[in-house]
Amino acid sequence: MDISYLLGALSLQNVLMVLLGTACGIALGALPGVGTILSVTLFLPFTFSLRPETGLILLGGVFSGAVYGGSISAILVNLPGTAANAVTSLDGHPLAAQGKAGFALGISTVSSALGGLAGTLALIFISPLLVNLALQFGPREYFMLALMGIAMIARAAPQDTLKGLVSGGLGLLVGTVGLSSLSAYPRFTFGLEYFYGGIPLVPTVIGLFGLSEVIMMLRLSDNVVPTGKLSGGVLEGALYPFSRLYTLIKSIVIGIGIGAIPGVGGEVSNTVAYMEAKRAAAHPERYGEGEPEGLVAAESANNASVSSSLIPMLTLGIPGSAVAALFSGALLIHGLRPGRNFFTDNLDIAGAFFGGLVVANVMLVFLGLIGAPFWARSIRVPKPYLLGAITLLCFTGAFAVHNSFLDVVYAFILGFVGYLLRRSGYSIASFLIGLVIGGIAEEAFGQGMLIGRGSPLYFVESPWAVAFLFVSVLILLQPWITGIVQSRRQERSAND
Amino acid sequence: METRRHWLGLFVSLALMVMSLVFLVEAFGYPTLARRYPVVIAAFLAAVTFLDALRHGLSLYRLHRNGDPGALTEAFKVRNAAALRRWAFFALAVISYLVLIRFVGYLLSSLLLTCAFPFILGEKTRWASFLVFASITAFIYVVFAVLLHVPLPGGVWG
Repeated sequence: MDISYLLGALSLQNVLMVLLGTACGIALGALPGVGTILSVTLFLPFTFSLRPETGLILLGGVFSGAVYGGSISAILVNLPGTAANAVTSLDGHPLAAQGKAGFALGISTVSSALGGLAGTLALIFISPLLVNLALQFGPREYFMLALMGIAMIARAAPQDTLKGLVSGGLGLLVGTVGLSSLSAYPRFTFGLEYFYGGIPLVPTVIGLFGLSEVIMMLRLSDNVVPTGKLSGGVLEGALYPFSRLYTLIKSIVIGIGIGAIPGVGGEVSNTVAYMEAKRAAAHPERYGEGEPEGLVAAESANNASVSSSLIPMLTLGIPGSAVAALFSGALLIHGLRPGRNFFTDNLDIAGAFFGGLVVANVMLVFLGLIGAPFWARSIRVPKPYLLGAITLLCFTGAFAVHNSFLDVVYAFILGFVGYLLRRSGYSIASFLIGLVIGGIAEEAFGQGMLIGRGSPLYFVESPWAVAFLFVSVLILLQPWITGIVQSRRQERSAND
Repeated sequence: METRRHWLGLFVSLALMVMSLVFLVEAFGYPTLARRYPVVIAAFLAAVTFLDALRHGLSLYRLHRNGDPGALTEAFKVRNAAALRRWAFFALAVISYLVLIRFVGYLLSSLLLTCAFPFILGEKTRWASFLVFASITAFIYVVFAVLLHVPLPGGVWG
C-alpha cells in the first residue's frame, strides 16, 4: 500500500476525531461494566454524518482507547473495564496495592501503544496478501467461509457450543427478514412496513448491547463507587517495557496471531501471552503478585489483537468479533461493502483508516501518560449519571438513524430481549455476527445454487471450499475429540 | 440458582424453537428462490433450540430426582423484587419520555428522563445532580443537533 494513502489520516478533521475517539474510548473503557463493545456501539451513530474514513477513524480510536482503558480500572481497583483486561488485574492490581499504581499504568500505556502499533502494521501488510487470495474465491468459497466464521463464533461463545450455535443461527435467521437480496420478495415482515428494509442494524446493536447493559446494571443493587489512588512512577513504568523486549515482541506476535482468528480475540490473546511469559520466566512464582513483566505481556498482546481482529472483516468480509461486526455495520451505513472490493475500490478510505489507527496508538501514549490522574478519577462516576448518559445516548443514537421514534421503541424492546438472551447464556455477540454474516452467506448460497444449477455438490467441488468445510466441522467437533483423546490418555496412564 | 438458570434457559429455548418453527412454516409459502435459504436456517435453528431445551429439561429432571425440592416450583418465586421495581420504573420513565418528547421536545424530556435515574435507583436527588444531568443532556444535544446536524424533536414549539 502506497504511504500516501496512510497520510489521508492527517487532515485536521481526522486528527481531531482520533483524539476525541481515543480519549472517549479510554474514559469509557475504564468504567467497569461498559466495555469495548458498548463503547464502540455508543459512537456508531456519530459516524452517520461523517465521511466514511473519518467515521472509521473515530471508531478505531474508540476501540483502541477502550481496550487500553480497561486496564486502568483493572490496575487501580481490580475491576477490569473490559473482559480483555481480566488478566491485567492479576499483576496490575498487586502493583497498585504496593503503592506502584503509576508505575503499573506507565507499563500498561506504553505496552498497549506498542502492541497496537505492531497490530496496525500487521493489518497494513497482511491485508493485501489476504485480499489477493480472496480475489480467487467464488460463491462456494465464500459460503463455506461464512460457515467457518459461524462455527468459530459458536465455539468461542462464553457458555457452550450449543448456545453459540443457537445465537449464531438466530442471527442468521433474523438476517433474512425483509426483501430477499436474490428475488426482492418480502420475507417475515408479517405485515409490518417497518421490516421491509430488513432488520435495522444500528437500533438492533444499540438495543442488544447498550440498553441491555443498562437493564443489567439496573438489576444490581450496588451503587457503591470504587475508589483508586494514583501514585508516582509513571515515567519509570513507561520505560520498563523496553527493558523486556523479548517478552514484548513475543506477546505482540501472539496477540496479532490470535486476534486475527475469528471468534477468539483479546480475551484469549492476552491470557495466552501472559501464560507464555510466565512459563518462560526465570521466576514464575512472582507472577500474580505484582510482576511487571506479566503486565507487559498482557497489555501488549491485548492491543496487538485490536487491529488484527479487523483483518478477516476487512479482507474477506467475515467479521470475527462483535466489534468487527460493528465496523462492518459502519461501512454498510456508508454504502461500502467490507471484503476484497473494499481494498480494490476504496483504497483511499482503507489507507486513511489504517493511518488513523497508527495515530490513535501514538496518541494513546500521550493521553495515557499525561491523563493518568484524570482517568483514575473517571472510574468513580456515580451509577445514576452513567446510566442516564448511556440511556440518553442510546435513544438519541437510535433516533438519529432515520429520525424515527419507531427505531427508539424497537431498540427499547430489544434491550429487554438482549437481557433475556444474556441471562439465558446466549451470546449476543454471536447473534450480531450471524446477522452480519447472514447476508454474505445467503448471497453466496443463492449464487452457488444458480451456478451449480440447484446441485449442492457444487459447493464441495473446490479444494478451498472443502478445506473451509472440514475446518468448520473440526472446530465444532473439537470438544468431543479432545475429550476422547484425553480419556484414552488417562486410560493408558492408568494401565501403565 | 441453578434451578432458575435451567428454567430460564428452558423457557427461552422453547420460545426460540417456536419462533423458528413459525418462520419455517411461513417460509414454505414463499417462491423457491426466496425460501431455500431461510428454510435451511429455520430448520437448523429449530433443531438446535430443541436440543438446548431438551438439555435444560433433563437437567431440571435430574435436579428434581436428586432431591432438590424446589426444582419444579422455585422458578416462579420472585427473588429480586428490588430489581423488578427498578425495571418497572425504568420502563415507565422510558414510556413517559417517548410520549412527552413529542409535546415538550428533546431537551426538556431528556432532562426529565436522566433526572429520573436517581429515583429509579432509589437514591436521593440533589441539586448538584440536576446540574450534572442538565450538562449531560446539553452535551448530547450539542453533539447531535449542532455538530452532526441531526434534527431532534422540538415539540409543539417546533
